[in-house]
Amino acid sequence: MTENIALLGISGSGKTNFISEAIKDINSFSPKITITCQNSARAFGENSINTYMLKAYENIQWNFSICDYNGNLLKSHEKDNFELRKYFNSSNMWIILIDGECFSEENKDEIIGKIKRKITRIIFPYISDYADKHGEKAPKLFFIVTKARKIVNTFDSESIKEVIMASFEGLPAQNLSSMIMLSDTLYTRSAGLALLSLFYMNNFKRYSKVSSESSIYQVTEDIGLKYLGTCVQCLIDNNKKLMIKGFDKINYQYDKSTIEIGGSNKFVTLAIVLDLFLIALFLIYLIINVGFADVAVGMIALAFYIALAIGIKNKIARVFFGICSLGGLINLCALSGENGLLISVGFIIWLLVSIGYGVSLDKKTDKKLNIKKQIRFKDELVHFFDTKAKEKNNGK
Amino acid sequence: MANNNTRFTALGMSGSGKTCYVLGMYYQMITGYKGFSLKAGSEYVRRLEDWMDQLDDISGHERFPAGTGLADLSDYEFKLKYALQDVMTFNWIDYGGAALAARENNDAEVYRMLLESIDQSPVLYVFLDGELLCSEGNESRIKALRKNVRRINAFLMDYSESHQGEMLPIVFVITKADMCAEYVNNDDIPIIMKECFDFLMVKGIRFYVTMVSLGKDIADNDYSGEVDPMYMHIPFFIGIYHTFMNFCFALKNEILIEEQKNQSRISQNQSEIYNERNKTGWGFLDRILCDESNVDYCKRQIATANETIKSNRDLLAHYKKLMNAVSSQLLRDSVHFKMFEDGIEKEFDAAESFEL
Ligand SMILES: Nc1nc2c(ncn2[C@@H]2O[C@H](COP(=O)(O)OP(=O)(O)OP(=O)(O)O)[C@@H](O)[C@H]2O)c(=O)[nH]1
Ligand SMILES: [Mg+2]
Repeated sequence: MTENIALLGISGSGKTNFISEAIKDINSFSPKITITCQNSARAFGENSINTYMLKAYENIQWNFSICDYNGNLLKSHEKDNFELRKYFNSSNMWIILIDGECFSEENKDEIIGKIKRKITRIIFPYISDYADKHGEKAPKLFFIVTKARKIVNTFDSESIKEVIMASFEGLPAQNLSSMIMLSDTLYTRSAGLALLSLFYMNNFKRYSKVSSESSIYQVTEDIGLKYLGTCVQCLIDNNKKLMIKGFDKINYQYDKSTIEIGGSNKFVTLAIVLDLFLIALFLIYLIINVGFADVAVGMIALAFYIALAIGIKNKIARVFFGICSLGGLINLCALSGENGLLISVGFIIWLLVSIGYGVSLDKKTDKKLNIKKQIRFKDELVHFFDTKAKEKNNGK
Repeated sequence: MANNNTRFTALGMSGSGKTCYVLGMYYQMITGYKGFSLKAGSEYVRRLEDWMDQLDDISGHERFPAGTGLADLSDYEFKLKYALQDVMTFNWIDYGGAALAARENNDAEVYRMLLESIDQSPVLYVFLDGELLCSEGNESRIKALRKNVRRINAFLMDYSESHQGEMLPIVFVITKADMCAEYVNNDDIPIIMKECFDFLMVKGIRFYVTMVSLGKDIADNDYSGEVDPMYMHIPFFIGIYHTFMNFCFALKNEILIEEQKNQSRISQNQSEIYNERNKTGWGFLDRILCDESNVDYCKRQIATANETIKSNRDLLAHYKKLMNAVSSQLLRDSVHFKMFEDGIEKEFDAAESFEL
């Protein structure tokens, strides 16, 4: 079954950009999640309805369609507008794009006035029309404030919520179903997040209910669904500033060990830091007893190897330089004779034990994903937004 | 709503701002206001939208709709919604200023239609051109306004005479407030009204005075200022306030009568059940003789009557809720309009709506 998503935005609000960025975001997110355009049908004159398929772990999770159109069509009275209206009325999920530029007015009242004049005046009649045909109920509304780069840091979420609700005063006062989010496709993958959130909201039922009192949902079997749920929730958790309203409905209890730098990882980090501290102490001891000149060569080599081991991308090279740094360390320790050698062996055993312990802790909490996958998954999710900003900056 | 023929009729001299008012009011209400919103009927929606674009995009006097000719009266149909639920449909009749002179010019048809639509109106709107008040001192303002409203006054007096001295509540809408607000202050209004509409300052007549504008900067830089309707909703809200009130009182009376009928039906059925069950007064004989199907029938009758009573009460409660939404908004806005009743200025307190 194909779900129709209605995208409402006046000319210049960023509809085309939103669609293409959302698709791009999701596809560059993880190889486990793909989104492909299945079909592109001409509709309403020069415009088109595209059908997409969302897959996770090779399983089809969602078929949906989005229409893109020239914003001026909203104001037209020709046949194409009639077709567009029909499409909107066939969809119960509406994304309403609010141009973030509207927020550059001087005060709240002026912002509201501008949004009403420029956007609500055009879009509200469509909502009203929908209500006429659907038992006086509004569709599910998802407000996305685009070009929100400047807004994120100058407005708190309470005022943004107020502005949007006041700009759509004709809606039922407690229109709890509506969601509000900030988006900036230049620096964040918020468009992808928005689409995934819609996916989640729309597939609510497939996530089985855990407790009847709370709105906590957890997926049972489908690994793809589980993965998507985790993605959505992680993205929300890590981008609190963008989520303005309604996201508390998305409350997916994913396995935290797959994403957070949990106790085990912290333990390993602490052990390594302690290790390095002891090595430093030992080096100072050496310098005092053996002399700086003799130690310097070994120290430079050690620092060089460690730097390479940490900095280099290639994994085999990393292991190689790791071994080199261990060699360098043993070499240094050997300077103070047999005792030094024993101490270095002690260091190494301690290092291996602490890493091994950390890994076993991780294994206990999640048997399905191995540690390697976990770390990559974590990086993907935590840096989801950073990466885009970096990409863009590099691209410039 | 029961009365589907609600009409609002706008009277006013040519150029007083009647057409601009419909436009501005729609402009404000189409985006929703305190839960209420308007939807224009398909016949005029395009014209109103084009006008709104024109108002936004064009500067100079061309941004406003052209004057309304005698022949092209517009009968705008609107649907009023609250929280997207249909409340009522009503028509707004915009006559050209020339219609008031139609009788003298023997254009009886237009004049007859005008009278007819007033008969279906819960309130009467009279538009006063704010530009006439743009001068120093009350004397010159009164003089200018008096001259302008001479024909309206004649019309109102005629109307009152032909309706046994009765008069609808009147909403005076002073337009172009952006221009005249700096000349006219709050205390001038009672004086001006007294001088120009003295015959309405009598017992039994209520009227309101409001000032509206399409935007406080609309006339700036050769009419290129921003559109930002000011208080445009107030005259309209006063109109629906009276509509709801008429409706609620009528509904209440209707419901009372029906409720009495239903109550007597209930007690009748109850006694029938009693009779059916107590034919002889001998317990076991009664049980044999009792026809349960008759009892069931009566029980069903009682249930239906109870349901009718409940649904009527729900209906009234629903409209009371709407009525409340309107009156509390008007109370909040009451500093922005004046109310005169029985010849004196009174505080608008919506008291009558609480009697429901
Ligand atoms: N400054 C200012 N001018 C206004 C405003 N509203 C209307 N006008 C001016 O008043 C003129 C007449 O307004 P209309 O609404 O066409 O007047 P009308 O009462 O419909 O006139 P007829 O159709 O001829 O009876 C407009 O062309 C505007 O120039 C306002 O709020 N502010
Ligand atoms: Mg006119």
